[in-house]
Amino acid sequence: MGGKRNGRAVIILTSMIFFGMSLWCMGKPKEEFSASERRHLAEIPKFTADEVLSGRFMRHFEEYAADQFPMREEFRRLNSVFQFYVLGKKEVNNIYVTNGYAEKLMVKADRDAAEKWLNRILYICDTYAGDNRVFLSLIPDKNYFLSRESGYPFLDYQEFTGMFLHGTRDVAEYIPLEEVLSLENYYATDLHWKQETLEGVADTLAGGMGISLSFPYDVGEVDAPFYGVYYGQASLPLKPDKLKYLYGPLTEKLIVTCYDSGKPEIISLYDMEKAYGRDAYEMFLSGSKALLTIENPESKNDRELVMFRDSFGSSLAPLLAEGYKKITLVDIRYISMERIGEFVDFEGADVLFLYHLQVLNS
Amino acid sequence: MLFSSITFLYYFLPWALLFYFLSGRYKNLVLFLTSLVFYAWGEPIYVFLMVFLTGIGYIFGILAEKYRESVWKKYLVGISVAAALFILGYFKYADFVVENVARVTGSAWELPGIVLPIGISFYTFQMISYVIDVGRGQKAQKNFISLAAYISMFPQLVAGPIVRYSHIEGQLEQRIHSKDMIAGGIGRFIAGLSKKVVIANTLGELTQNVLDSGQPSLLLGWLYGVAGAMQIYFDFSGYSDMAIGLGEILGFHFPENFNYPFISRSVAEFWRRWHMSLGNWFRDYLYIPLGGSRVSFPKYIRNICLVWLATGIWHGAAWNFVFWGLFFVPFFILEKLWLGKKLENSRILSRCYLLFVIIVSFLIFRVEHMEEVLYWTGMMFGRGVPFSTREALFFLKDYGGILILAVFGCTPGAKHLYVKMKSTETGAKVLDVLWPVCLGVMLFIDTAYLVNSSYNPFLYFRF
Repeated sequence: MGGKRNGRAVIILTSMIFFGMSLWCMGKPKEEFSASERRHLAEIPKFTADEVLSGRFMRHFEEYAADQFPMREEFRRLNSVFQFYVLGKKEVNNIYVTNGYAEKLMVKADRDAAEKWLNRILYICDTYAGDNRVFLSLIPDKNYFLSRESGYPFLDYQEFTGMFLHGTRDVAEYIPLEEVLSLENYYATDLHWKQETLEGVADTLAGGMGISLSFPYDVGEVDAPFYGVYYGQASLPLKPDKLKYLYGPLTEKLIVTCYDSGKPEIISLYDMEKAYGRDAYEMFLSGSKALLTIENPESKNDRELVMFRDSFGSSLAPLLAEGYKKITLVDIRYISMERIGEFVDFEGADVLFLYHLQVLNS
Repeated sequence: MLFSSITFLYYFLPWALLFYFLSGRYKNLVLFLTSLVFYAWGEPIYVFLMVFLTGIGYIFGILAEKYRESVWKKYLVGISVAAALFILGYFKYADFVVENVARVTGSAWELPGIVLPIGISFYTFQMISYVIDVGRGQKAQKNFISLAAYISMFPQLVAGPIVRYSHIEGQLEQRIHSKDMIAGGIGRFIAGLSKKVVIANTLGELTQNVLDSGQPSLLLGWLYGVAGAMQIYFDFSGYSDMAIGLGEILGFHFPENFNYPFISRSVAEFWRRWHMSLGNWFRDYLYIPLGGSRVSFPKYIRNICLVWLATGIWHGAAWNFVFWGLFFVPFFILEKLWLGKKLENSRILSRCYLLFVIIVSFLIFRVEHMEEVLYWTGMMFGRGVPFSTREALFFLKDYGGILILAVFGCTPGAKHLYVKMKSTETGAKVLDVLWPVCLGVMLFIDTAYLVNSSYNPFLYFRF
């Protein structure tokens, strides 16, 4: 009797799961994008004879079926929790969590990528900044502070940064940041650093470039939890961060102009709408932009800075604006290097290359 | 279509089974049609090849039965077997043959670039075994749909087990469906899915990480060897479990394909426990017709070499598969002559011997170039490498849980535990409640793994 009951229970329970999930798969409204993965989700593929006979329909349908699965984020979390807490995995989806910080494992140097970045820097120096004072600064990732003590493998930082130092030794002055940074400067759930902790970094860069800063700011806070990029990728129960920003009489006077649309467009230093959006860190200078300027009408000098940067520069540049009349921010991932000269005036400007190691290693 | 995919689990399987059980006496037709859909999903063009081969088997099976008492039987069976082997040879080995002939002769021939249809090795062998068995006295199947259902049956079409027609003939005509069998099949399917998705795929991740590592060490070598061997086992045996489980749901009893091969104490025993349906096929259709072991010693060696050459080539059209098959020959011979008796005296030594031979054999199985086998075995003996590196230790910690689970899963420990619990009143009551819940949980976890397999993140929003 027990065996029969057991058999019936197995059939009923598993049938409910199979049929229930199947109907849900077919009936649920399709979702457009994944906030945790920051990408569009696959759409149902075209059903044509050519697509079917070539096998493309089936391949794309497999992607669609996984992307549009009901409760996809919840199942991803189940996967992460099972791997992390039951199987004892030290990383899930290449993200590890230790000391309350989530970070992406970075073990191998991608020499091809690093060489490409080095060549870009040298091209810019040769083409535009031959007579300028050029500075290079590399931002270590959290691995630099986390992995050694916690037993995770890590990149040979000395060797990796050494490539750039050696390559730019004749054209740029290196300003190291490792000594003024620590784990506390970074968000727990995001790869970025916290603006409110960057006084030491700003001072070090300013000192290296020969300007002085007084750092006249108050700290504001976004009253919503900040779920950084690793929160979604790890899909583990992590405590969200708090997004803070620095403001004061100076920041209110800064004029930020964006040139991405082809015409100059005045934007906010801190986009508060984005602070409550999909990627809250984009509140700093409205996220990924190819070309921006920050003008300081209260500047005590006529110095200008051209900063080649990634997203880390978005939160740092407002702090350097105190020491410059104008800062031009260029992201060469979104603008052709050959055309930079059309938009940027390098005459007499300091040039700073400020990049995060993960960007240079990809 | 893979069993371990969202498409199969939630778009195909429930509805295929529903139509099957509602189809009354048309079950074989529904099984054939759903199997065609299943196969065409992965091979929209070559589904016709499978139907064509089934047609050859059908026609020649009937003819072989009709002319069984005459000399024509031999020719009819021979022609159909040759046709099947020709088709298999063309699709699977043409590129390999052309490449090697060109290499030897120095010609600049272009490779034909023939695509290998999925499952062709399995359904060809099933068709061949059907025709040979009819030639030997088995009754031919007059109903094309029934024969087609047997050859194309989706549970075992792409990855076995190889099911003999004689084994399944009665079940094609009449099947008993019971709750116990269906429940048992569901349990077996989910267990197999877990083996594939949770264990095999994770071990695959580990072996890939090891390959990508730039820091060789003795520990890294062993991680690769051990994880690689277990990955192949769980992948293949997981698939076999799913096939056997699906068969049970449909009312068929398929033969077992694996019987805890890693607890073997000799290579001979290993091959009585590993991919048993293939081993039995080669035994019955090649080894025994050649005389088996009841021949002179030189002929015995010839037979062993031919069977293992065929076994190796069956697995793939590349030299490493040929070497892999032939790799076992000296062990079979040594064990037959004297090593077998020695191995019986020590459980530990015999198991260590077997495990090492198998780990090395699977290195040969996996590589593209034979130098890699020397590279990895050298690393396993610490030749010119440190004992361990930070990275290798991290891999051991990172995948330690899954490695322990995999090692336990290679033994019949879980099965013994289940049987022991079931044999007691309390244990049986606990299992009554626990087992369905466990299956449900395992299914959700397997689904979670499959959903996560499409994980593809970006740092910034991609629009």
